[in-house]
This record gives sequence, structure tokens and C-alpha cells, in this order.
Amino acid sequence: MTVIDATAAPVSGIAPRILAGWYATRRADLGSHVSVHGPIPDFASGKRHSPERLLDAVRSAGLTGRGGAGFPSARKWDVVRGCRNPIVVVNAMEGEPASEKDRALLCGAPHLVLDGAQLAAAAVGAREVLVCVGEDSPDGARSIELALTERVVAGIGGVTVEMVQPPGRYLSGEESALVNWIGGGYARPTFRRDKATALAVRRRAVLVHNCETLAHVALIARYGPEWFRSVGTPDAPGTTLVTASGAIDRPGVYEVELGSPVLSILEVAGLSNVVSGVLVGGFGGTWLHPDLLETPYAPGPLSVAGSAMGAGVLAALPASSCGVAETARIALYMAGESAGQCGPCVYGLPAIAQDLAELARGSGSRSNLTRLRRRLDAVVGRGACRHPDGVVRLVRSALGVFAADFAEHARRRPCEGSRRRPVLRVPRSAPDGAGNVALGRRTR
Amino acid sequence: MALTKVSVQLRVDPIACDAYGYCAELLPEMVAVDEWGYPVVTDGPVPPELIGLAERAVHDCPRKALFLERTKVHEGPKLLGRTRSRTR
Repeated sequence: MTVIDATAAPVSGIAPRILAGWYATRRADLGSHVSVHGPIPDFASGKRHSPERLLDAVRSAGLTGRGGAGFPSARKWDVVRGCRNPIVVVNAMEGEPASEKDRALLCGAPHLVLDGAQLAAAAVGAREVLVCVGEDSPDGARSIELALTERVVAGIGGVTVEMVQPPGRYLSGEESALVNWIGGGYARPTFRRDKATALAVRRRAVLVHNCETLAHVALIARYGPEWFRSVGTPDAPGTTLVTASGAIDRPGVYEVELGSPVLSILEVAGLSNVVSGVLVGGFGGTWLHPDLLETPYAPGPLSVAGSAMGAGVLAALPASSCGVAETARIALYMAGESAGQCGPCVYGLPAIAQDLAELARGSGSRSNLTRLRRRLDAVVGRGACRHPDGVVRLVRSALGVFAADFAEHARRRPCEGSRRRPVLRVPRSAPDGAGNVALGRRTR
Repeated sequence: MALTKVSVQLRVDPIACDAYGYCAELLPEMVAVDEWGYPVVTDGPVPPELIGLAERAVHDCPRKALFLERTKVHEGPKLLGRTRSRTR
């Protein structure tokens, strides 16, 4: 298991925020949480603060979602605020195999997440909060369960907070899949003909936030938007959690100031090798070229480099390994994690993974490369969710960053690295989209 | 009221679609099939002369996966209220 590194100061020397009051050896219980951050501010009863003031604070803090899409949090609240009896959903599913940050947060600072959820509920007028922790994260679930008990004992109330455990697959944390499961359906993405339709459970509007986003809300409510903006960049204020892995000495979860160069984050995590590329965002993310490691870790500069923060993954690939083979393994896993609903994903992803596998082995030729490119163009944008698009994004970036390797592999001359043990940890997945049989319904 | 125009787009519900391929037979002008038989619909508005055929393709889809999306497109200045006739 990955070490949660809390003793290391956040990159660029600022004091930790989300990871403040964090103990390398134990979880922050309610007592130590309150002694570090103080009690949860009361925005619901409106004595000193009102829900509007909380909304304004989050808006002027410029907080954006930390689950992958990076949508402004206050704008989500604007949409749900007018709705009758909405539900707040905490998304701590962490389907992304290379990410550990949600689990780290649940295990280390559960009360920060629950405070944030309660505050978000107050802001949009919700009386119900559902914390979704994947079945594959028993330690995260235990920590939340314990925290909920601690809060009941301490008399922290106002909203009903319940924890549920959807199936722990790559796609079950996808927003529409999660909402569908909560409503009694399968944990599979859904298709909305009218793109403007809001997500709902039995006609009740749903506000879905990643658990890290809510931890930031809990801090903004206490210390204010100016404090939040005092680190980071004007366009990307604050800090964020990053899971660093791969060719580094100290893999783990780090809190970093937005705008820190990617290289400096990796150096704090103990980068010692020469890298051939860095996986940014996650399995549906992109490979970053070694020449671009000075890119500031923030949405704007990363998008210029063709990348995005995604789920906060940074995985460094050592120059001794094979980018073609690593990409092929990820693509095969992603094909197996298709929900099995849309043809272009069900047939396209295994076909793409097959092309990559043949190239990686050295049994493919230039025609595999041509066919692969054609298939990437054919599949993109044609699923109900963004799963196929993520695979296309990853493979296209690999074709760029590892271009020389791909050319050699297509000449049936696979590199030395492709015979070595793979570097990135890729879980086993059912082949050919059979993963969807596990995306079961919610039982009550 | 010639200031608003309705733009019609042909779209596929990829979950409902089972690659029967009728749409590509009925409307090859706008629908091609990929190597697995699933429809690839041309982006952009359906030309007026094809609307009838598009409606037929939508109607005949065995999975009811094909649909037309109508969106209002504003052209020119926005109407801020009803204009009153000045003839007296």
C-alpha cells in the first residue's frame, strides 16, 4: 500500500491545509479535528452567517471540483439551490486505480469531509447527505462509519448523513452511474437525451461533489476566501491533493500548491531516475513529455501542454521501461472496465487494446499503427459517458510522447524495456467488458 | 417572428443502439457505420431537404435509439417584447 506522506511539507514550502492536523500513524478523530480546525461554523441557522454568505465565500474563493472535471463548485450550488428537497452526494468512490487521495482523506481526515458535506447541504438547503465509499475501500468505510458515530455522540446534527457502499469498479463513481445506483438502478452511466437535464434521484435534484472538494469547503467556511486564495495562482487558487507514484522513492499522497511545477512535485516525492514520461490525471489522462516537466500543475498551463489534472495522479515512468507496453496494459484494463452498454466502447476499446498489445509485443507492424489511429478517431465522443474518450486521450498522448518507441515497435523491434517488469500497478479486470456484471444494484 | 430559427440535429442514444443499421440504409447522406456496425452520424444541422428522410429513419429505428434534437437558434437582435402594430 502507498504511504500517506504527511510529514513532508507541501510543495513550495507552504503550511499544509487539508493535511494539517494529520498524523502519519493515526486518523484525526473528532477531538483532534476540532482542536486543529475549531468547530464547524453554523451557516444553517443563520445567526452569524447565512447560506448565502457561504455560497459567496466559496464563489470568491474560486474553488473548483477536485474529482476530475474541475467545474466551479459555487455554480453547481446555484443550480441545485432552487430545487425542492435536494440530496448532497459525497463521491469518494475513487475508481481511478492510480489515485489514493480519496482513501487517504477518508482515513486521515474524515471530519473535514463530513464538515464540508454538511456545509454544502446548508448552502443548498438539503437535509440529506449520502457518503459513497466503494465496496473495495473497507478502511475508508470504517473511518467514515466511526466518524459518523463520533458526530452523533457529540451532538453534531442538522442533517441526516448516511454512508452507502456502491460496487467498487472504475466506472461506478462516474456521476450518472452513481446517481443511477443510488436511485436503485445499476452502477452504470446513463444517457440523457437532453443534455441540460440535471441529475436526479426520484425527481430530487442531486449535488455530487468529490470528497476533496468538500474538505476545501470546510476550510473556506472557517478561514475565508482570502485565506484560500493566498496560495496557488489567481486562476487556480489553493492547494490540491496529488497521488505520486512510479519511478520515485516516496510514493504517496501529497498536498501541493496549485501552480507548482510538475517536476518540483515529483522531486519532493523523491524522483531519482530519468523519466521517459509522466502519466498525468489517471488511466484516462495523458502522458506528459519529459521536456514539459516544468509545466505548472494547474488546469490552464496543463491544458496548453495537452494534459489535465484529472484525479490528481502523477505517475513517473523511468526511462528504462517501455511506454508502449505500459500504455497497452492500461488500455486493456480500461477495455475490461467498460460498462458494456455502448457499441463503440464495447467493441472499440478491446480492438484498441489489441492493436497496442501486438505493437508492444513486437508482433505488430505499421498497419497496426495506422489501424490504431483510425480506431481512435472512430471511437472518440461516441459513448454515453467519457470512458472511451479517456482511453483515446491516453493512447493519443502515448503516440506523441513515445513516438520513437512506437516506430521501433512497429518495425518489430520492441525495446529492452518491454521485456522488463512493468512499472505501473494495473489491477486485473474482466476482459471484454464483462466487468459490467459486477455493477450491481443497490440493496436496501 | 423570423428572428428565431429551429436547428435540427440527428443524434443517437449509444446505450439504446444495437447496430441494426436501418438508419445507415435509410439516410446514407448523414449516417455511416463503423467497423462494428454502429452508426456514425454527421455533425451539424440536418439540411431542410433531408428532414423528411431523417424523420423516417428516426421512426423506423427498431431500438428507438435515433432521435432528432431541435434547438432554437437566435438570429439577429433579440426580441424584447411584442412589437405593436402602428397602423391606425
